[in-house]
Amino acid sequence: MKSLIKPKEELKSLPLTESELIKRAKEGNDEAFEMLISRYEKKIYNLAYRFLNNEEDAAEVLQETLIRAYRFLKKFEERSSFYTWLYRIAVNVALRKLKKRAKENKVVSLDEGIPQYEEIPQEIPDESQNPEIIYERKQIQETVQKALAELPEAYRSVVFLRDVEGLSNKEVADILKISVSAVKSRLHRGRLFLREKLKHLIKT
Amino acid sequence: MRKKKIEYNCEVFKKYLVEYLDEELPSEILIELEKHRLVCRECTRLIRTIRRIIYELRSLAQYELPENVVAKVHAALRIKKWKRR
Repeated sequence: MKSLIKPKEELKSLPLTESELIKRAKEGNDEAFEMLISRYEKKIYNLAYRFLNNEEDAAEVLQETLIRAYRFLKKFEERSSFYTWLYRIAVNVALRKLKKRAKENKVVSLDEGIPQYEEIPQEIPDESQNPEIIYERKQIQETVQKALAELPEAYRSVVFLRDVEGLSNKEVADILKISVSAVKSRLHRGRLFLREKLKHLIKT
Repeated sequence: MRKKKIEYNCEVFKKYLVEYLDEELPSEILIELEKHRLVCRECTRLIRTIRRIIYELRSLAQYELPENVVAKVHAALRIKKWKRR
């Protein structure tokens, strides 16, 4: 029988669309699956990190998410984007881990294992060379990270998906399996919570 | 029965905050909220603060995905694939 798996070099040289990669991965082409997930690994890791606030748990969530995606890929009917589907798996894995951790009553410091960040994009070019502004921006970013980590879980997932990731209300509702009005309500409360936490820092 | 006229105060403004920021409101509500905002320093400040928070959240730096994590995860995935064959 002729193998469906194409030689590595051939697959890499083809400009494959996401749906072509999904099709090949479903047919059992592992390289296509790896190419597919490589687009989202960092995003999933970031999502897990924001949910769990430590590197080790984030790595475990990433691993579990990818294994589940591999196992259930054939059930993915492409009614949503692959990204949304993968996110939903990751959110579920992360939430389960959070619940398990709550049960174990494992106390995790919010500062625990803070990793190296990439360079913060300079979005305000006029101020970018001013050391005071750079210091202030760094302070703000660190405080926002911390405030986000302190948000109650129900709000944190919504605020993260909407305001950090920039997904729509509908996409967030689909991922978390809640109504759009619940997304809006949690987003509202979450933002007000952050406002309280950051009021000393953000002067308007 | 006459429909009760809504008074567009701070409470109502807060209620519509998400839709206001998403620019999803019908014009008749938006106009009333804007009228309130023009005279309310508190709501003006609220909008500015929330916009600034959203801006900060959107510009949060991404965590680096450590190489050793990638290697570990891929190795675990390969073992799972192998076991399924």
